[in-house]
Amino acid sequence: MSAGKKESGRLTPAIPKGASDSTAAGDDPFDLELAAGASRGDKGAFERLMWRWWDRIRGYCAAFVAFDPELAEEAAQESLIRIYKALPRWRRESPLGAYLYGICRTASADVIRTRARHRAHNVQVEELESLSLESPQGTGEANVLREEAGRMLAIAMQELDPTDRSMLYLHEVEGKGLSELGTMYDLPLGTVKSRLFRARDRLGVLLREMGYELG
Amino acid sequence: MSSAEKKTIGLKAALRDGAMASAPSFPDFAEVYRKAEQRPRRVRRAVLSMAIVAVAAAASFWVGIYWNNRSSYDGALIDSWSSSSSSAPTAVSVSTSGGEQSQVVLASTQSTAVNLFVQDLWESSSNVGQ
Repeated sequence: MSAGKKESGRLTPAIPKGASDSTAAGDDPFDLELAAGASRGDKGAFERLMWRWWDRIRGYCAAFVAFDPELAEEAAQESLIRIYKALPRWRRESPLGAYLYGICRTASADVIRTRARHRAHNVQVEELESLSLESPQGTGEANVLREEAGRMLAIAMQELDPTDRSMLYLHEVEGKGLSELGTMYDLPLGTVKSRLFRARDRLGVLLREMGYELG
Repeated sequence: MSSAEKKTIGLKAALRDGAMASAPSFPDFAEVYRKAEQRPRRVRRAVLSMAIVAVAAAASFWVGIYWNNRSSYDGALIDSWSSSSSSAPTAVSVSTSGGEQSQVVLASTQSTAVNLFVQDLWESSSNVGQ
C-alpha cells in the first residue's frame, strides 16, 4: 500500500478548536453519555467507559514507552488515575478521544521522565544479539519468529522519539488521519506528515540492519 | 544477510501485537480510586508543611527585628551615636581611676562604624595602665 494513498484516504476535516458541535459529532454518543456520568462521579460509568477504551489506552501507552512492559503498565495505570480525576473538567472543547489520548501522552511522558531519573533505561541495538538468542519455550516456529520480530521492532522503536512512535501507532493501528493527529498533537499537517514519514523511514533502516524488511 | 533472507514485518500487525503483548491486560480500578483519593491528601499535606515553614520563617524574622530594636533601645549610648548627624561620635571618653580597670561592654548591630569604634575603644581602654 502506498503511503500517499493511505494518508489521503484517512484525511478527515480539521476540527476547529472550541467548536463543541463538531467535536460531539466525532464522538460515540454512548461514550459521551458515559463520560458525562463519570464526570459526575459515577464510578460505574467511568469503569464502563474505560473498558470500552482500554485496548486503545493500553496500546497507546505501550507504544509511547516503546513496548517496555513495566513502563507500559505504569503508564496505563497513571493514565487511568489522571483520566478519572480530569473527566469532571472536560468541557468538550476537544473530542473525547483526543482528550483521553492527550492525558495518556502526558502521563506516559511523566512515567518515562520519572523512570529516567531512577535508572538509565536504554536498551542499545548492540543488545540485539543477546536478545535474539532467547527463544521462548513451548511455542511453534511461527510464534518464535513472530516474537523475535516483535522484539526487534521494540528495540527499533526505542530509537524513535516517544511522540513519533505514539503518532505512528495511532496512524497505523488506530487509523487516525493526519489532520486528526495534527489536532491531537497541536501540529501543522505538514509537520505530522513529515514526522510520520521520518519515523517510518528510521524504523525501516533500523529493521533492515537487523535483517528485517518493513511490510 | 542477503535481501532474500530478510524477513518481513507487517508494521500494523507488529505494532498492535507489540503493544498488546507489553501492555497490562486489565485495568486496576481499585488502585485508581485509592491513588486518586490519596493525591489531594498528599497535596494538602505538602501545602500545610509549606505554610508552617512560611509562618515559622516570618515569625523568626519579626522576632529578630524586635530583638534588634530591643537591643539597640537598651544601648542608649549607641542610639545617641547613631541618631547624631555625624557618622561617628565626635567625642567619647572612657577613664579609669587609680589603676582600676572599668569594664564597660557596649554592643550594637545597627552600625558597623559604631561597632568598629566601640571595638577600638574597648581595646584602647583595656590597654590603659598596662
